[in-house]
Amino acid sequence: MNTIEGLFARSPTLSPDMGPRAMLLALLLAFVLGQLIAWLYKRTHSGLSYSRSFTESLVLITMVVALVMFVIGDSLVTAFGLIGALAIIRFRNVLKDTRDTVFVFFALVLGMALGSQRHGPAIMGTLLLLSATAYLHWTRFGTNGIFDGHLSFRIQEGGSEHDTFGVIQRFCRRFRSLSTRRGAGVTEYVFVVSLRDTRRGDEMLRDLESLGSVGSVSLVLQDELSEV
Amino acid sequence: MAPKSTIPTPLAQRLRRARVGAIPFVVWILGVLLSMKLWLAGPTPPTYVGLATAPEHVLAAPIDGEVEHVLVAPFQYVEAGEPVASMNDARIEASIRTARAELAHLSAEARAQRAALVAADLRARRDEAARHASALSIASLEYPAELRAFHADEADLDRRVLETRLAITTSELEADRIELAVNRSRAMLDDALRPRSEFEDLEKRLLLERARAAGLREFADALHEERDAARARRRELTDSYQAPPTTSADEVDLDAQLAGWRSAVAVQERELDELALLRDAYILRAPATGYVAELGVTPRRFVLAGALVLVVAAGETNEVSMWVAESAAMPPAVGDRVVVSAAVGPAARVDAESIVQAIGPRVELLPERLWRDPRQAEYGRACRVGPVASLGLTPGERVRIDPVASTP
Repeated sequence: MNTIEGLFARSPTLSPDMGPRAMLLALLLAFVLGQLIAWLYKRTHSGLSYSRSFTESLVLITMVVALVMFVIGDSLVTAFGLIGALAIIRFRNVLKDTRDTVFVFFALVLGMALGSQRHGPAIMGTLLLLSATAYLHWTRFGTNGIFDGHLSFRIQEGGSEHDTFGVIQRFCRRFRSLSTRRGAGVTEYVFVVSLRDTRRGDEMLRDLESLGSVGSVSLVLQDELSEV
Repeated sequence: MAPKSTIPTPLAQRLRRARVGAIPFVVWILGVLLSMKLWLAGPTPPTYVGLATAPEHVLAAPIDGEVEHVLVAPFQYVEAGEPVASMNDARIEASIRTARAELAHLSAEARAQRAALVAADLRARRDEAARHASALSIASLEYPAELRAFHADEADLDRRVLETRLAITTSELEADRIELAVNRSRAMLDDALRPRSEFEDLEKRLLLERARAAGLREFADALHEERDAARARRRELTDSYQAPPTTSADEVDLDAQLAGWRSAVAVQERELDELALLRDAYILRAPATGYVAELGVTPRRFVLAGALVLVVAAGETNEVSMWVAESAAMPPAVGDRVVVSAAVGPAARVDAESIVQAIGPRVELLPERLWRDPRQAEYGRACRVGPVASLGLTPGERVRIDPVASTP
């Protein structure tokens, strides 16, 4: 801990605690509370413009800004330098993706930390932020992909919906009706489904078709990469 | 158809789902718990800032005047009592010369008065001796001729002794007057106000007068011997006769009559001593051993009494002034152990354990170099920490002070 303390050692003032433990606490809290913000954003979002990368960015921005305060500390010069650098980059590069902006911001802050010889915050901040980024990517943070795909089928009038839903329940862990359209003696259903075993999707289709009253069965599985 | 059981979910798919669903929640819970643990662990002990201090000694100008010479340079090492500057002492020198001249004048006047008194005494004695001789000559018919001759010789010798002593006194007085004139002439010669020939003439006259006085003294000694011999002959002879009573002049109480002059001379001597002491103040000396931290004067600069001349800082630092923020949650107490840390290189520090010796009684303005924002003044309480001699700090050097964590 002495070595880590030494990395954080700088000209002391009467300022608040800026040691490694304080920084770890700050970044950890930023990670935890940032996720709350992201989850609430995802839960309350309406419309078609939902973006997973934006949700991830909410967590990363929280952590990056916490790191910024440790880099700036109580130095007015560093603060104004950061503002100037940000303004230059913002107006020189139009960044459409929020996540790109976060990474540019992070690189900027890292450069300022190293340039002002705050090596401790730079190293710890980098390790924690990269870990958080990798973690968020690995867990597909902010994804809406709890369903594997869309299942659509038609049931003839007089057909057994109970048997149909029984087959669906057998193969799907979760399913939710998207739309129901009733026509001339036919009812068309569209469900979003979460398969118990994605490899046995064809088997589910054969079982549905074997019911007789069910036709035009189709299963469309969504690609992970299709989510933005 | 018998209902079929639900198909099992493969482990890989379960793990994929957990990666997206359960694991983030678990990690989040762990993050919350770790944050709470760090938070509840409490703040790290505060770090204080301090400045190494060394005793400083200020030398102020003792009197108004012009600084003539500055004998030291900034940051020069000086010993206590070493001359560091001198002030223009022309005025005090003139005052001393004036006092000396006045002393010489008073002394000469006292000698002259003494000589006058002695001369008057001698004249009185001479007249008395003459009257005695005359009385003897009148009564000489009743004495044998030899006794009359002895009396006459003795009286004559008395008269001549007194006359010689008078001449000696007069000569000495004259020599004193000439000596005074010589001193005045010498002073004027130094200032080129009188010619050298006048000075040399006075010196010659002084030598002559002194030689005359010396010659008269030798003559007086011879007369004394002769008179003593005559007196002895006369006594021997008058033992067998009843000689008329003789009178002698009363001794003049010189001490009483010269007391006033003597006291005036003594007063003038004390005044001269005072001026000599005052002249010493024109030589400014270092108040302590150390380095010249600040030099407040330059040559030819006029200063008022009390103006800063220089500041001497002791070379070794053994104390540190530590500042505690006004709003510190855990302020230190007297006797608390602390670790004083100083930088000795880009990434190297030396530490020394010390204690808090005293805490300032008031909240005061911090030194400007310790402010976080140069435009925002900061306040705190100053504390004295020491000893720190082992660190070899330079006065004014910035140090870090960390409280020593108390062990159970």
